[in-house]
Amino acid sequence: MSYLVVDGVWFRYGDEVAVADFSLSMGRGEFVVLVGPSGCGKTTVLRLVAGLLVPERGRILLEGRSIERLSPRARNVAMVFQNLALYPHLTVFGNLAFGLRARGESRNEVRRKVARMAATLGIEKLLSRRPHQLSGGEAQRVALGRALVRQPSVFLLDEPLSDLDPPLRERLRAEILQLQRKIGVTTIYVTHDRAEALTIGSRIVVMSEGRIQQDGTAEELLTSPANLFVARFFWGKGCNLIRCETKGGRALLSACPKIGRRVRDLGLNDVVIAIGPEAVAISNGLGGVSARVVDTRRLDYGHETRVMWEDIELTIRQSASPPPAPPCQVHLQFFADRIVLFDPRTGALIK
Amino acid sequence: MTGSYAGRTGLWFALPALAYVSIIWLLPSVYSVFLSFTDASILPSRPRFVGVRNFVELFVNEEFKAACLNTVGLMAVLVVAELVFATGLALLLWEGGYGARIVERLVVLPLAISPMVAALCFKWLFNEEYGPINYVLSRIAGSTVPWLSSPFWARAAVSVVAFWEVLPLSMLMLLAALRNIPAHLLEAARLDGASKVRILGLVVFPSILPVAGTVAIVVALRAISLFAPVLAITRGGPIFSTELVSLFIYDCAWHKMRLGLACAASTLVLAGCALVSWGYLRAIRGQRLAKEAGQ
Repeated sequence: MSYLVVDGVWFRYGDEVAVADFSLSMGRGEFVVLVGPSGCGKTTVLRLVAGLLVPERGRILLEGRSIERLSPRARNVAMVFQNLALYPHLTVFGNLAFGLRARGESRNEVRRKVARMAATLGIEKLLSRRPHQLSGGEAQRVALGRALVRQPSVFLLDEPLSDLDPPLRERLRAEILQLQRKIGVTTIYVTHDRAEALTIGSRIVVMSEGRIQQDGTAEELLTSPANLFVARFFWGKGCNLIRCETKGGRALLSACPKIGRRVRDLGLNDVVIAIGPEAVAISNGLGGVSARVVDTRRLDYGHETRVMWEDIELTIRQSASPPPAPPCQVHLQFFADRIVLFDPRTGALIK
Repeated sequence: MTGSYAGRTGLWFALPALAYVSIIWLLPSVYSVFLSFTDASILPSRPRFVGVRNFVELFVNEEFKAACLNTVGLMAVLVVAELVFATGLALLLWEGGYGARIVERLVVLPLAISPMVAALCFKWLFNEEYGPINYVLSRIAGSTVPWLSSPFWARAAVSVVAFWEVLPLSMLMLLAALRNIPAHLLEAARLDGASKVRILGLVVFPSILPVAGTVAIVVALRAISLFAPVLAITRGGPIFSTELVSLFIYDCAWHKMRLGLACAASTLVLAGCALVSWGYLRAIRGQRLAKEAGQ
């Protein structure tokens, strides 16, 4: 049975539609990553669930109870803000105790819960400090502690790591996941960073322009993106799109007879052929087709090579082998099983 | 020697401001301190040096004592009243929606009225026989208030006018401070389930405290410099109950023609103000140093 259900929710800022017909259903203890470019409405969804905004239409159910009109206090939802929003005039202890005291818990109970949370996060030594005396990572842990100490029904994180430098970000990301599993709290994690989404999300919901584009595992998003937006978003520069009616498209169809047959069987005039990073590779041996290298670029792992083949330009990512030095010729190998087709009018995946 | 060259260039740029400050403020102040040791008059006569005689005279002068006590009393009443009402009003405007924007614009109007004009209007309002306030009171409560003939009510009247004059400034400063509180902080408190009172006490008030301190200083200085209402409405009366140092200095110089004595009083006020400002700055610096030390 679903624990948290968002059902057909709409929200507008003035005339601007921020969230359109958003539906999401989560089991108890599930971890969902909400990802999309800035302005796609992902933070608005979080604020709707938190109760900081009230949806125009649609329902939000927690354990089958409708909560979309309840105050944040009555929902027992916790949120970690992008800029953390620790109370600057209270000590770390005061920050953690704030929510417990606000709910009228006894002095002993407050002390016990704060101590336990601080021990879990390893911030016992910081309890008497004030927020401006904390480092970025420490402040982050305090923000997590403040949210989790009162055992919320739903835990929301709004790009909590975006202000930290990469090594710390990776460490805290792992810590958040571990903590979430340990406590078993139902969690929605918002990020605009596709790499972060793929790293942490067992279930990823992709949003654009207020709508859900795809809801699936990292594997599903990478191998069968539901539409052109998802393909472009997750494949990045490695997303090569070719119209089959162009000269290059026809060359590709003859180079990959399997795809050629699929396109003919569809009986459509025009199809977008999408060659993702995993659908093409530079092969060492002969075979495949020969292409001219335009340039190469180092990535943090491996490199990215741009090649011209017929009159189409392809960007290919490779992890291991040394990059080819332009100008030179390389052989390309296509993996027909991993090439996907999109309808050019709707942008949707053709199954 | 680029350093000294740069220093000299800087001096040239600072010169206009230095000249302005010197001519408008520094020289008159120094001259006034000098005059406080003389028997100068506003009549054209050569001032003679009299040592600390003026100061000794001030210390035994009942009128000056009353003026000092009244000024300090007014300061205390004004600071408390301003902090309470300006904060309350700012909170209402901060919370309020559409109407608040209009009220915000209306409330600043007193700033645009000349203090003397306002004082004359209030003189008419407080008039005991035909003033509108007493008229309304007599209609509603059946009795009137001796605004200008009773020491207590005269002080109240002067305080009300002073309060009315500074309220917009205090309120705008506090409203700006409220609007500077990060929205996320208030949202975090709402999500934590805090009641309105708790949010005010633990998030809002601590955030605006530094600005409230500045407001207190501004209001206190306003109490010291308050002049137009007492001159126009009560003229220090009845029986010196609304005599303020500003009025005392004015009377010494222009009615008793004793410029030296007036300057001595101003020097004392200047010293008092300097002491208060120095204490305030030290407190602020102490806070900042503690904060930096913590980081």
